[in-house]
Amino acid sequence: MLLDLLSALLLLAGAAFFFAGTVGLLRFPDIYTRLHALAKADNLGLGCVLAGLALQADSLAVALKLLAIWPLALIASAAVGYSIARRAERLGVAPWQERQP
Amino acid sequence: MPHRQQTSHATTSRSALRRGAIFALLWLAAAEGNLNAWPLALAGVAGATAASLWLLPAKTLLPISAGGLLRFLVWFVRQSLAGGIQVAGLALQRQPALRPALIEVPLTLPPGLPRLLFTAALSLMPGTLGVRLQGDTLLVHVLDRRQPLADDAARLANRVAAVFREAR
Amino acid sequence: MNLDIATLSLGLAIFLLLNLIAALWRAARGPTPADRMLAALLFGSTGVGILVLLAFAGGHPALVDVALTLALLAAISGIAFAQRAWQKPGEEDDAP
Repeated sequence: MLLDLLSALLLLAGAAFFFAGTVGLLRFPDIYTRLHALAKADNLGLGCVLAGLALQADSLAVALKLLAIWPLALIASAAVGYSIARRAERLGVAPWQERQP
Repeated sequence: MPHRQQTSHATTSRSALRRGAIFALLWLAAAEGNLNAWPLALAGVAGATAASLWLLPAKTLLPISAGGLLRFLVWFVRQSLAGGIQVAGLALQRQPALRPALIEVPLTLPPGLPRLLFTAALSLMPGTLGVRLQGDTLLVHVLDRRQPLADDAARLANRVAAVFREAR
Repeated sequence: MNLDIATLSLGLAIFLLLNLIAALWRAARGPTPADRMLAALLFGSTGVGILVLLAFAGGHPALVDVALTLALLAAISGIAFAQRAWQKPGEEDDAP
């Protein structure tokens, strides 16, 4: 089935983005860069997973329900990400710079 | 903070119809198209519409252009894909090529929803993360300070302005 | 071509769980309180992803509702957090 193949590809791509997000979280040098990794890679990973599963849904309503999760997750990570960055800046966490003097 | 305003009946009822239709669609999706509990659905949709009109009266909301919103969403998904690929590439590099910096961006959009959408979307786009919204500027953390931030921000502001018809 | 999406979903759910564990360990280690707040982000994305994958892997469609509710709560609490963050006295109040 072509649909199954597309689903599988989307699911695998989603897992790859989640993995990249985790690697970024583990390797990036400060809170701001780690936020970049999570806010972008993980959300894209979730979007791919949801799209892959929506293709497998029995009805349009179920597919819509799955896809409705994505904007909610985006709102959550935009808002939480902003709060964390704001908090870090208030705490005086300076952004990491390459080749520090 | 909710406050009632003098709103013309026509605006309010048009708004109620539009929001009611959106809530009904959400119910249909959440119930997977099953309408056995239709009395509950009716009550839920009516309650949600009433609450939304109370918390966000039709008049306080800038008119939203459906076409602008749709174009924004399509463009946003593409940008979000680019952002995810860029940061994934950086994370998996042997030596991540990070040149981060904090840069102030002047806000051209009106306060309220347009600025919030701008800040939220910017954080999900390639290389940028909103850090502080203060006055008419947004402090942005960039992964690479050579990125043409002013151009990217202007492009995003145009897209957001197209969603809110009278935002300019 | 015979692809078994349910099995793939289960495998990926376990893979995401391992990701979540590694990320939570990183978030808990700090060093700043802001780093520890990353855990809130992780449940909104990775947690929701695990739930929807498990819903398809085990044929428990109700888990999709759990994922939807978790995402909704994450969005609401995120907005509440952010509102506190930008409504400190003496700073820009962005309410319309």
